[in-house]
Amino acid sequence: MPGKGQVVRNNIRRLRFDAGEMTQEQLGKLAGVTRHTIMAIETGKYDPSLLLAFRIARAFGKGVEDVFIFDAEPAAS
Amino acid sequence: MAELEKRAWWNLWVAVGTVALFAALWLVTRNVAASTGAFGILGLSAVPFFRFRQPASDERDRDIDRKSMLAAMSLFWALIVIGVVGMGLALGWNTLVRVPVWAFSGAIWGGWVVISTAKSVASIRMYRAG
Repeated sequence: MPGKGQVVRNNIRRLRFDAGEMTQEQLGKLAGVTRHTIMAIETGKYDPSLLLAFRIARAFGKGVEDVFIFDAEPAAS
Repeated sequence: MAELEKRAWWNLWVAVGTVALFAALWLVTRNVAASTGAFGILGLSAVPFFRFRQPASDERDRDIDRKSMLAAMSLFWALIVIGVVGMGLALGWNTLVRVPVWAFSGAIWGGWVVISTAKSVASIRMYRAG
């Protein structure tokens, strides 16, 4: 789970669109989770485990960093 | 709605129903011991476990389950400490008290209601939050 000032964004919505409007249900089946969990991840309300992040990336045939983007706020000087 | 969120709603309604039935029985009978019979409907919490097909759960469900149980047990523990210290301070630490059986069993049932309610509310809040 990211710390304060750190955010994990993702491209799941766009990647689903690019994959022929893959549904959340279909992605959930490929990744081994429920549609609700995919929805929560997609909207940034839940940060997946590393294992699940890899599974989701693999479902799109991408690497983890193509799906998830780690944003860290610059440290205060 | 996630299957396990539905289960949390079910448990919440069972707990609320138990308290409501207890209050109704007490209002009608004015007998606390008889009213504790209402706690029997807490057994309805087990109904979802008798489903032939158990709902699929994933890491988010397990995470919510773990956090909601932690929240429920924290509240329960706080109430126990407050209750024990409160009784000691109010009655005196060396005071001997006679307690009817219904008070003893009622405290156990009540503890179950507190844990079940707190866990359900925490689960529902976390599912709603994402």
